[in-house]
Amino acid sequence: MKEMMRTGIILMLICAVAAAALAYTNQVTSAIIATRLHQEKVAQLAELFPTLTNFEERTVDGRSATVAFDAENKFVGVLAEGQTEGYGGPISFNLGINAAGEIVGLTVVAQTETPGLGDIIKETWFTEQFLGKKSGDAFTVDAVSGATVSVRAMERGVEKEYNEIWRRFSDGGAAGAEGTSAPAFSLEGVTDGTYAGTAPGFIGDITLEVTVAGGKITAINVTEQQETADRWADAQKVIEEIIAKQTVQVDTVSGATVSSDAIIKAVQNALAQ
Amino acid sequence: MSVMSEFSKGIVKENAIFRLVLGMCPALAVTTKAEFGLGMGLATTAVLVGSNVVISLMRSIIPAKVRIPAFVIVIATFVTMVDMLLNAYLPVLHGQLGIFVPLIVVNCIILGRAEAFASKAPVIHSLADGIGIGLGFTLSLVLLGSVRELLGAGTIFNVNLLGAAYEPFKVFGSPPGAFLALGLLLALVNMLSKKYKLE
Repeated sequence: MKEMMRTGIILMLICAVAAAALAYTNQVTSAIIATRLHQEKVAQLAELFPTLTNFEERTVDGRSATVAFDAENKFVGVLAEGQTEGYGGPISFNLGINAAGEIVGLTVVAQTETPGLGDIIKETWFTEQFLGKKSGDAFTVDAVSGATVSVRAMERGVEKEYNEIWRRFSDGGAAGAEGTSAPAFSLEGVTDGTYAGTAPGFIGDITLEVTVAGGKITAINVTEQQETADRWADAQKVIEEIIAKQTVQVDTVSGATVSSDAIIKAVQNALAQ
Repeated sequence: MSVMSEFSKGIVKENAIFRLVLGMCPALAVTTKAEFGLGMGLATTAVLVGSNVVISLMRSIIPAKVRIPAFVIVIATFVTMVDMLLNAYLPVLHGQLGIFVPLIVVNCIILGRAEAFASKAPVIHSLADGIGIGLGFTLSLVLLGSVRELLGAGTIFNVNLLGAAYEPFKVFGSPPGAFLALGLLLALVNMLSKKYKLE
């Protein structure tokens, strides 16, 4: 028994030291790796959208895409994955669309079309026939004998996916942007005074009063709430943050998401009056 | 044996590839070019030296019953660290070696040295053994990679040696070519070692 304990404890200690070493290495390297991946992605996107300086992954209506922005944070284009059913199986491709709605990039990532016939769909001379096409255009390209089915599949697939992607992302996928779930918020035009706002919390409504003085939120007093006591203590952190940052675009408190989110919403409601 | 001979045995007498025929998976898979062989060899050497030293240091505290799991944890830790460091500081090499970096963890040379040597020998000997075996492995991979690259593309370390008129044996860049090149080199090494009585 003693032997078994000793064995287990030693093995556990080895694992603990190994875990610490790995955690340290990861801490040192993860930022470098993330920066590099980001730069690689920017370089890849820059070929499609020359004015891009930054990008963001966004999901709208169950589809994710990479949305590119220029230096003024204006939407310059979107890159998303699409799929179609070819002759030999699914074909997946990356489709890049610029802010004007034109296809600027099409790359076949995976396909199992017949080698020598249908697999011409992955060649550059084939895919570049789609460049410049936009909403309303006919998505037809030159037929290739021996590859009719594959070519048709690409025509149909690119058109369908173009429409799916463009319907969601023609505005830059704003609906999928982080933080935009909150309605636009501005302190401009809010005259000094005290405003009351309410939002449903975890248990009941949360009512609070926001004091605005000199164009700034100076105080938030909760007048009514029935939240769980210890969760509520945590949730109130967002009040300090809203006052400190002068915005409602603050993170909710984990463990008290509903309550803290309700506070944010109540402040919004108060100021929207 | 002296520390020096622990070091030198790994390069010729107990060469992992040509004498022990161990670690064949990376030897065949990544040696399409000399530079990949060098990268793989050095990554493996780093893991081998690290695991040899640590296992030798802990040899009196690791219980015999669980020594293999303990070795595997040590080796896997070093492999993961090398993988992260390569990814951060040598991304090109990391991209070329791909899955074969994490697969160093199942390279039998490393567990073999841990079990057969480092768990029984003093730290300094284990260090010398790790460097020696690692360098021997690296040299072998570079040799194999050079032969394959020369025959398969006419270059070594991307330097063109055979001129533009050379029509490359494309097969040496493919997996069957790896077996062919390894077989030919093994035959050559056996012949030389008989001739010079290295047995």
